[in-house]
Amino acid sequence: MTIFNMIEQPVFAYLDPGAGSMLLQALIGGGAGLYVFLKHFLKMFRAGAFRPARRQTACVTGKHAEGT
Amino acid sequence: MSSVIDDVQVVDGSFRDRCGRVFLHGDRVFRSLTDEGLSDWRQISRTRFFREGSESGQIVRTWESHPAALPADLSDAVLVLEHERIPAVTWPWEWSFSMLKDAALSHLELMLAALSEDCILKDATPLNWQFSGGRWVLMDTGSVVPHTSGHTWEGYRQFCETFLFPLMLQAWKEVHFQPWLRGRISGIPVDQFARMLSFRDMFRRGAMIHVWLHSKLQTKRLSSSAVSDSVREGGFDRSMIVRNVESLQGVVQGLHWRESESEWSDYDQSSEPVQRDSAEKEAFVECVCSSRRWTTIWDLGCNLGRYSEIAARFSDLVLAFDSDHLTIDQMYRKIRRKEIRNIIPLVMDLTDPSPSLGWRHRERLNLEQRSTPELILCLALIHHLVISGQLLLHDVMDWLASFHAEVVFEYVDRQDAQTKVLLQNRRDVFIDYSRENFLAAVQARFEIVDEYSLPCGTRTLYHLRPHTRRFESIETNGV
Repeated sequence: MTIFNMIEQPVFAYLDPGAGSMLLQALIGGGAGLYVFLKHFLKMFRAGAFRPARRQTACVTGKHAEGT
Repeated sequence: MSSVIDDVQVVDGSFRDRCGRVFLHGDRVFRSLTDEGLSDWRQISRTRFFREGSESGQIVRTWESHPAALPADLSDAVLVLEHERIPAVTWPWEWSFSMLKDAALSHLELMLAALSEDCILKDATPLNWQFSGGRWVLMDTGSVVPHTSGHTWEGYRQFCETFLFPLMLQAWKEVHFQPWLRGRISGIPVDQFARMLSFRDMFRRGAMIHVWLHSKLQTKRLSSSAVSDSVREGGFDRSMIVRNVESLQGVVQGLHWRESESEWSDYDQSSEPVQRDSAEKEAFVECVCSSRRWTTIWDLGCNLGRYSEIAARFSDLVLAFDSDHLTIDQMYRKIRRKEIRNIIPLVMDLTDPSPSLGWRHRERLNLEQRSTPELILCLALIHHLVISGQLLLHDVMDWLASFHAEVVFEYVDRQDAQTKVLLQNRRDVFIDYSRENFLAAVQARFEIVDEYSLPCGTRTLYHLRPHTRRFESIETNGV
């Protein structure tokens, strides 16, 4: 819990919300699902998914504000 | 298959399901199926849980049909189903806590029954459920599909956002959930709800897993394809979904809204005018209601439903509205206890009623597009609408007349003790609120069939019948 509380997760426009819910169901399901959860959890941890997010301060102007 | 003509109406709110569309033809409700929808239907219609659910009323009764007409854009339908018509459609933002909780438990119960026969409810939204005939009925048969082994429950997050979090919000925070669901019909997003919880809330049942961890896993570093591959390879099976559903059942059952008192919750028992005049009012209401059989009666400002219950004896359906959430919750529990099947209590502030919502404002229709009353009970409400709600007296009468329905109306004088309470500490700008103006407004729109002065001397009951001509807005310059 401490690890999670260190971070402020930004909301991403292109995140895939189904994936997290799917992984959580593996955890709740128990058994082999627990292994699947831990595997992805560790991958996410190593990839820095739970590092504190840097807050963006720059203004979005001109070209950068155009379609993404 | 059938001829294609245009006097059928596609239900706008059914567009999300690509396997079928719902349409109306007269009073009948149909669902067209595509090839994929047909294949699902063939499988689920043979199952025991579906058959038993239909027989018991937990699933809307459905049969294969051959309508005389199809909407032009559904001419490629391979099969058409017909559903039993539900007398009134209501939305979750009009329900009370116990109503949403019962709908959630019905959903989970049906999920378990479906899973026992390798089927699943792919969606998990309260919008698929209706309170009808005294029980919760699944309307969206298209959401019941065969379950493919190795696949997780697609509707899990939707269940959390539309059922679980609103219930938790009410039970844990005592924050009314209705404005949240009305503000966003797809529910309270998991990341938003997680931010509302305190440290203490984290130790409540279900908070750590279904809210906190769920929100932390909403990250761009997870991809569905990678997770679903390993879930499948890891041997994810039906029993794991069953465990999740059973866990959710426990969480939902453990949610209780402990509010015991609100401004209106004991009004019926403790209010002096209600106690004093109730026998005469009941007799008057019963006299009007018993004059014929009604299809739909609206009881506006129903409180605990004293008059709704009388109306229910003479009507197929009574929609009972009150803005007080706790009162409606108590009324719902009472009618369930007494097994009254034709009253639907709804949380509704009539000065700010349910609007049309969703895509093009057609997905979820407003109240007046969903129900048409033949008789309206508007008892001891007018002083609240005009003084507390600041509505114009003639505008309220315009609104009532717009339904072309008969009305049982209780006018409350300025001299009435309750009106005086409303005017306390308030600048009296309500110059239109007088008996003369009221009678002028009534006579312009209705015929007074009967009237009765209550023993208190400051209240009068009226039985009003609309003028036969179709109502046209009357310019009355404030009358």
